[in-house]
Amino acid sequence: MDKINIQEIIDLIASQSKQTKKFSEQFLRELVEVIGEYLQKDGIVKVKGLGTFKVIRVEQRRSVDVATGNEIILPSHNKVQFIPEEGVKQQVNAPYAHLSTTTEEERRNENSWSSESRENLFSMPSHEQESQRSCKGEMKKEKYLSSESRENEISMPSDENIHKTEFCKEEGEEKEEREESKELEESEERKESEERKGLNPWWIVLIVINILLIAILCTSQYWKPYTDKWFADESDEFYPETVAADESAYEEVNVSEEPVAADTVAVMVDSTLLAYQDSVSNAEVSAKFDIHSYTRKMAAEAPVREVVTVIDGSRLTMVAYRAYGSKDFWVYVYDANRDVLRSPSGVNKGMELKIADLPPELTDPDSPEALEFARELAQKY
Amino acid sequence: MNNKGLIAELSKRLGVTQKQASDMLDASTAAIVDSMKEDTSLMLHGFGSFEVRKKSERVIINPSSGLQMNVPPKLTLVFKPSEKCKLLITNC
Repeated sequence: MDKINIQEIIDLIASQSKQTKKFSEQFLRELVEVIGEYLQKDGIVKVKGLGTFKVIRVEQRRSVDVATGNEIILPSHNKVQFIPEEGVKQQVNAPYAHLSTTTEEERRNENSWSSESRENLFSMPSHEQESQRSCKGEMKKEKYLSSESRENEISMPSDENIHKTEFCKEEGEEKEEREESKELEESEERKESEERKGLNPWWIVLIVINILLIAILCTSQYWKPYTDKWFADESDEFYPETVAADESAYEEVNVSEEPVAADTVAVMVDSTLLAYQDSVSNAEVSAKFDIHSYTRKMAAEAPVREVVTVIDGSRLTMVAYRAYGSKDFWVYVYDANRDVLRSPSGVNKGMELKIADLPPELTDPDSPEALEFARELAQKY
Repeated sequence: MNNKGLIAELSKRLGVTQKQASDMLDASTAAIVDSMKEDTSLMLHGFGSFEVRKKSERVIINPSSGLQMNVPPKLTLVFKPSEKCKLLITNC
């Protein structure tokens, strides 16, 4: 920290008051003297534009001498307290003025999603989600491969795939062998234990395995047309560039596999599929949408994708983060809700905010261009 | 003593009008605060020193609602009285 000396401050005062340096020096000296004098006399001096100087009494108190460990009594004394004026406080704190007190709840919301917001997340085309979905699709695919190979009745795949499928077939056979040997062992054990006790938990395990096997058999037969289609697409899969073409096929595999797992999940995937397809068609329509052509009207007139209720302590940035994937897109939420919101900070608990369905280019949290544009917009508000 | 009394006292001592004294006081305080904004410390001989200190962020708990709140760091203007000033106020 630099030290500013008395001469510099006198120069500053002289230039600001347009008085001579000599007079400024005299004034400052008198000022200090008067403050000191009246501090002694009245105990309080208020200086406009700076703050309040106050004398406060500190009562005597017990303490311990750190060096000797003996208990000592600190005598009572007076001390000067300085409380800066509100305006001065703000001027000094200007570099940190943008920070505000936050509750822990908000931070938790930022980190972990409530189930509600998770659903919201699913219905929007964010990059994260896509990668998640494709991961899921691949997993399903693998599962599918093994079950298919276990079946040993695959329709002829394209030439490039023969190798892979054969390999998988082998794998599947190996698995089956292992399972069979396991079953044998189990049945032996069962017999032994039956002799001993009569009934035991291995029964349940065996039944479950059997049911699973039957289920896999049935589903692979039932969904054969889809798998055929998938295999046709599989040939493309070897070239990583052709991801988009496969995307729809993955989805179908995804959905077809789902009923085996659980009905509720299937419904969810169905809805995400729909949302995804919607976004894809949207993307096609506005493929060459220029983000700089965005106007306030657009958000206000765009179809409402969903209505979000503001929870306690939520701000526009949080709403935007949940809806579009980045806090910087709060401007779009604000534009869409200008009829309810008087200012960007006028968000209250329980408010219902509309989330406009905007072109994905505009609200892509991974596009630096879109983020930059949103920040530019935010500057204007 | 309030600001009015201070201006009156200063004008009496310096032999200037109250208007002049008030203008001078405004200029002085503005100069002090302005110099403070640039991360400096000001030492006024025989009175004390002004400096800007950073208060680090902390977590507080609202006693009524039990909510944990995060208070951001802030810069504050602090005044440290000199030895002479301390001596002056010991017996009042």
